[in-house]
Amino acid sequence: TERWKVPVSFPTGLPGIGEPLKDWAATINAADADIQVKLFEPGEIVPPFAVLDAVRDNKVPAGMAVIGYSAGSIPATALLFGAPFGLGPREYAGWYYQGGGEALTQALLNKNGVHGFLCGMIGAEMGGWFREPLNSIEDFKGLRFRTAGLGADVLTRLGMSVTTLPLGETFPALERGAIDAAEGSLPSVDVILGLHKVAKHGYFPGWHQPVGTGHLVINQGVWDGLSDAQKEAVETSCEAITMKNLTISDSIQAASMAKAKADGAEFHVFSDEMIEAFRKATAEVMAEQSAKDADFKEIYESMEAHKKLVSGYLDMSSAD
Amino acid sequence: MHMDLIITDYMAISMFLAFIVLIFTGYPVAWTLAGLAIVYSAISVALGAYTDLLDNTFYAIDWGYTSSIIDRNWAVMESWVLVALPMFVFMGLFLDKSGIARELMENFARLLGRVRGGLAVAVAIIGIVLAASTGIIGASVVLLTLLGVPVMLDAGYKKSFAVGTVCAVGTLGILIPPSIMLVLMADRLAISVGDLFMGAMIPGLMLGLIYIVFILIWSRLRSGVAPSMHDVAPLELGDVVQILGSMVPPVLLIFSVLGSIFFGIATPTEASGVGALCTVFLAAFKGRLTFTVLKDVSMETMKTTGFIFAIVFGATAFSLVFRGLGGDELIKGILHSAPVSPNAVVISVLLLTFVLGFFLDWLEITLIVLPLVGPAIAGLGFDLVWFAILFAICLQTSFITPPVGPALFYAQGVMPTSVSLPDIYRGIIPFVFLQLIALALVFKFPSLALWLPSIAY
Amino acid sequence: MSEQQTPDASARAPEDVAGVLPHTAFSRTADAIIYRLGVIFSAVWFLLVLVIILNVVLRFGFSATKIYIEELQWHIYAVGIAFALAFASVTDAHIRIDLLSTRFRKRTTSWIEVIGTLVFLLPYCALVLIYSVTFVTNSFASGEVSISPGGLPYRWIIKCTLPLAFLLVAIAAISRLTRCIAYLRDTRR
Ligand code: NA
Ligand code: NA
Repeated sequence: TERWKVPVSFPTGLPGIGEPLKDWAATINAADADIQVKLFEPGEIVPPFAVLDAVRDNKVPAGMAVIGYSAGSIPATALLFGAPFGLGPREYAGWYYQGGGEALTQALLNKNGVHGFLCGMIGAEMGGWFREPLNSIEDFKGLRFRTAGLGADVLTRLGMSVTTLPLGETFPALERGAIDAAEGSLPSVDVILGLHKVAKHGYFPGWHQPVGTGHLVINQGVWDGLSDAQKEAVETSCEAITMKNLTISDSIQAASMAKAKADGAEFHVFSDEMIEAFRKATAEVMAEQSAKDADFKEIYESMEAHKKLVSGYLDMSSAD
Repeated sequence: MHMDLIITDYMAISMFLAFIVLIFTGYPVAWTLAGLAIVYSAISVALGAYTDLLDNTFYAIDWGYTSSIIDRNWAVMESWVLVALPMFVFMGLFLDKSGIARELMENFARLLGRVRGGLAVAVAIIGIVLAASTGIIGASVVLLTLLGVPVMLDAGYKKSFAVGTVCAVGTLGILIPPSIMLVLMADRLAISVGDLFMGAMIPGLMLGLIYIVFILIWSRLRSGVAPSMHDVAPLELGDVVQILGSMVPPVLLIFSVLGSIFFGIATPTEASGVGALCTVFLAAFKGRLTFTVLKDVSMETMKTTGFIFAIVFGATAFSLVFRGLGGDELIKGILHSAPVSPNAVVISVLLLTFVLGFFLDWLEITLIVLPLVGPAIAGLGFDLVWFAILFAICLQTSFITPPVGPALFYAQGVMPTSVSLPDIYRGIIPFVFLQLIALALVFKFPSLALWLPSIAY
Repeated sequence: MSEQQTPDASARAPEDVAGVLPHTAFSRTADAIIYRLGVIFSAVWFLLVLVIILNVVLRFGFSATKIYIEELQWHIYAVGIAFALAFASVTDAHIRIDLLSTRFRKRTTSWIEVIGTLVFLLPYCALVLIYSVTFVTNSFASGEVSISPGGLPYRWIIKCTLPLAFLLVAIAAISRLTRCIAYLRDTRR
């Protein structure tokens, strides 16, 4: 029997994000594939940022990674994790399972010493929590905003003063006004953290992150040593959890948003003018990243091609 | 209560016992922790290679697993929040070496010297204010030790009393927000950081107040513990004005730290740098800023930072391997076999946390215990914020309970050489009891923790 | 080595064994180098103060944060730690529970030091150093940079501070080991 210690990148206590991982573990343990997994919380074995590296270096056989944390060394992982104006959940799943995404993901991961699968998905995050409402794009100039990743690059271009404070600092800094806004996650997560209490203007949409993915990564040597039946079981367990995770996370947001409103928070949407500005700056960022990294370019173009392919149908078929 | 132990359980237990025994050899605590991680990895690797004892368990470890030490150490070295540690140490040493600390405490002595325990009260007040600016125990304990202990000893305080005061007061920072411990606990329990910060406020301040009351009562009851100073001249009104005037700059200094957080100028971590710079300015203002002082302070900061981080590294290696051997599961097993009445569950969790606190640090206890008991406690209908605060008070106690009391280690490193380890151990005993009293009060009156979160924001 | 360069052991109890340990040719050189490096790099702490202030002023005063300055804070701090661990070793500042050991004979204490160093400290340093190789080379080979826009590049350089810290600790440990062995040899009946 394979017995895997599996570190995860986010706490399994977080509803809609981490909790489904427990289901995944139960599924694979029950799958009669001679694989038993045991989940370890962030930091119990390795810090959340190091999960992919730890798997590659065979410190642990497998891990549940937020793959985008590795964007410093593998830039294209930022796209796989969910990127500004990138694929939404339905498009992403389509790209991954039908549009060649799985092969591209596999190729990128193999190149970096691991094998892996899409293994968990959530919908769009929030655009952020702001201390003051935003009236125009001019309000972005000098606004002190805590965020990270490609979205941070986009906002820097719009004159925002972006900072990467750790979570422990974000809350008191936002409360006392050392920063003006912070990007969080889904309402269900942010409301638990209490971000809505210190910055009561919640903005949608999460243009910077239309989807959030989790990936199961397995050390290449460990993967190669599995039987076909075991490989099949691993892959199937991930397919199952991806759909389940998305539906759970979609379904629990309403309650969290209601709670935020009851606590005095207000929800807004970014104006069309703002969205256009984000979109324009995003195009610049994507072009720049594509020029720097061949894998990034290949995956970005593949994603865009899939988006174009399905958009005709998706746009026309939607009733609203 | 009955549990079946397997081979890895015995390994985890013996690793634990080996540590408790071996630190008394006088070999550095940090390297004992780190070394045991290596030795027990080697034992596990050998057992795995030559026996089938570790087959069919999750708790066989290989060198690859143990090499996660690298990533764990690196997480410490790239930590933004821990930057505050050397900064507060720098600030404390600068106040000390420039003579400002002594002057500040002497002024307190002139004001409060006629009151028995007055100096200790002054230290406690400074400690409470400091606690509101940092949650980094190593930093505040070092700072308060440098500031308070020499002056209290000069005034004839009993060593153990002086030392106990700084160790206990120095750990308030982990309870009074902002605090990295509360942030992690909120994360693990999936509750609001804000609620937890608010919830900890009253119990934290209450504990500080309990310390002050205890200091005043105890120094009155036991003569010789904290004598009033005989050579203090009677105060004239003019003196009072002059003393208060001379205390303005240091008080401004402390409020530069708090104020920069409160007015949104700096984050709590950056406030440590603000405090450090203001200290340098204050020394310059008083004509005490020389190159020698700056050099001495920097070197001592290097040394103090070195021994503190060695313990952090050692502890992270130890806990990784302890966890790898199934030590966590063992502790969870003990919890599972706990009694069933709801209050009894809470009490036994707290009791276990208290006992674990003698041997493990807060981070490990949080990682082990919280994810396990959180859902159970919520299921019993208790408020998780209330429980988290009780848990936090218990963890705060762990900092000052020997043999593994980080606050005691940090104080020991910068203590005058005349103070011995037994002095430190004796000194903290009453404060452990005071913390248990605070724990009992919050247990009995949940609104101490729940009232503020209910009205805040 | 002049008297001023002799590591200051004043932080330790007077009966500490370091006071009676003879120096060896290796320990004299090694300790002096580590001590000197510690003194030189202790300047980083004041530098860190200035960088934090710069960051605060830029954000609060000008709403002009620079992520490379934010990251520079922990980069400087990591450099400080790299030299601090071994500096604490040569100044004998690491925390010991000397409750019982102050009553041991000096030879016993020296034996404890020898065994502890050989069984605990040096194997630990060896593990960190061995596995640091892939830690640094992976970062170098992948051209790792900051994950944030405008963050600092060349992550492998700052990652070198981790093995550097434990290389220096190992050298300090070997230095002390030679001193303990010399003492045990000198006092052998
Ligand atoms: Na605090
Ligand atoms: Na303790």
